[in-house]
Amino acid sequence: MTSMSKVFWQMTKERVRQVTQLIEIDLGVIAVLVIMRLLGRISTDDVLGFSTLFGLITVMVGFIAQAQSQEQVWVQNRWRLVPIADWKLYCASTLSNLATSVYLWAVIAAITTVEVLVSGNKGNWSNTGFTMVASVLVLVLVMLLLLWTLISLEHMLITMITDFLPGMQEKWLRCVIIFASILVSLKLVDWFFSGLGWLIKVTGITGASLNSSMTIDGAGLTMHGTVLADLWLSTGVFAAAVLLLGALNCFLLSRWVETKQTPTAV
Amino acid sequence: MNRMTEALAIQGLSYRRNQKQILKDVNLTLPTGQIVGLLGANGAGKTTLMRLIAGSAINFRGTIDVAGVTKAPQRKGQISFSAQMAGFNPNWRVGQVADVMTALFPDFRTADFLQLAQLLDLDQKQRIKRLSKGNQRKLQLAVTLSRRAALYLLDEPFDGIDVMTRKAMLSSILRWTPEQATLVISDHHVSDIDQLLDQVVVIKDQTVVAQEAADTIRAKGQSIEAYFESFYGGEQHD
Repeated sequence: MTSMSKVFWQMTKERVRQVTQLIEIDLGVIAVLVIMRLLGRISTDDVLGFSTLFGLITVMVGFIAQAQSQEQVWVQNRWRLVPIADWKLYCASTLSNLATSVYLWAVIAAITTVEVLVSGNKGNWSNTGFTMVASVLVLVLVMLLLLWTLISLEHMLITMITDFLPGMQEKWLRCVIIFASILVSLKLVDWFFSGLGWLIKVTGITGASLNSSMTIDGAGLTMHGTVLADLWLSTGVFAAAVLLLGALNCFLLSRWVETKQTPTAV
Repeated sequence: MNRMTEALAIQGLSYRRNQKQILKDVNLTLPTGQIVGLLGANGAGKTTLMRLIAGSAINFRGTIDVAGVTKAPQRKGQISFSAQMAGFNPNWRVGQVADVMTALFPDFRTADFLQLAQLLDLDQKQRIKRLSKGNQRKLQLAVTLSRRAALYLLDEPFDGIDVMTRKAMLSSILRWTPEQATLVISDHHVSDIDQLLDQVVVIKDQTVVAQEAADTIRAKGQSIEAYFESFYGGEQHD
C-alpha cells in the first residue's frame, strides 16, 4: 500500500512545478513593467498597480490550474490505480492544493512586498494587526477549499449521471444534465447553510455580532466589536461545509466515479 | 482449488454502464504462474473486464479476488495494469516516468525498469509525446513489468505495432514476468500471442464462454486462432 504522505508529496511536487511556471510569467511581466518605468514610459504607481493586478491574475489562474489538476486525479488511472484508499487519495489531493496555494500566495506576497519597498512606498499596515490578517487568510483558504470541494462535487455528480443514463451523443442533453446537477449541488449547499443558520440562531452563538464592524481609514484597518469572532465563526461554518461535502465526495469517488478510457498508451 | 494457488477468482461479476449490460455473471478462476490469453471480438468486454479487475471501473456486482484480496485498495497493490500510465504528463521524459512510479508504487523496481528500457531500446531522455506509437507501447510494457505484482494485465499490448517491436516485446514478457505471477493478455489478433499462452479464456455475449489449457487445444491438433474462431462461427471479429 502507498502512504498518503507519498501521494501528497508527489502531487505537490507536480502542482508546485505548475504554479512556478505561472510565477515565472508574472516575474516576466514585472520585468517588462520595470523596463518601461526605466524608459520613463510609465510611473512607479503604474508599475505597482499593474504588477499587483498581474499578481491577482496569477493567483486566479493558479486556482483554476489546481482545480483542473484535482479533477484529473478522480478520472485518471495514474492516480486511481495507486494502492491507497479513495478517501486518502481525496485528502492527499485537497491538502496538496492547499499547500500549493500557500506557496503561490507566499511568493506573490513576497514579490509585492519587495516592489513596495523598492518603490519607497511604505504602505499602511501598522494598525491592521497580525491576528486579523491571519484570520482573513485562514478564512480565504477555507473558502478556496470549499470552492474546490464544490467543483469536485459537480464533476463527480456529472460523471455519475452520464455513466448511469443511456449513452448520449447529443450535446444539448449533456448540457441539461450539467445544468441540473449544478442546481442540485447548489440546493445541497443552500440546505446546508440554511440548516447551519438555523442552528446558530437557536444556539445564539452570534448574539454579540450585531455590534461588530470594521473600518478602513488613514490609520489602516480597525476592528470594532466582535469582527474577529465572526470571522472565525464564518471560517468554522465553511470548514464544516468542506468536511461534510468532502465526505460526500469521498463516497461518490469510491462508489461511482470511474476512470476515463484513453485510446492512447499514456 | 486451493486459494493460495489462485491468482484471480471472479464470481458472479456483472457490470452495466449507460444502461447497457457489458458483462453478465462472469465466473473465472486463474491459477498462479500462467500466461493467459483473454480473447474476444472488439467490444466483447475484454478491456472492461481488465478495468474491473484493476479497479479502474468500480460499480459492479459480484466479487473479484486477486491473490486472496478482495478490497479495492489492497487489490490494486497486487495488480500491474498496462493502462496505469494513462494521465502521465506527455512532456515528461522516459527517465522521469521511473521516478514517478517509484514514488507512488512501493513494488516498482527502478533497476528492472532501466534494464527493460535498455532491452526495448527506449531512450531515457526522450519525451513521452515524442515517442512513436510502438515505443509508447514498449514504455507501457516496461512500466507494467517493472512492478512486482501477483497479476499482470496487458490490454492489447501489440495494437498497431510492427513485427520487430512485437518480437522484442514478446521476449520481454517471457523473460520478465515473475514465475509465480499470472499474466493476462487481451487481444483480438490471436496469432500475435498464441505461442505465449498457457491458457485461453474466450469472452462472448457478455460473459466467459470458454476456458481451456493451450496445450489441450494444441493436442487436439487445433490452433489457438481456430479454437477462438470456432466460438464466432465465421463472424468478422476484427
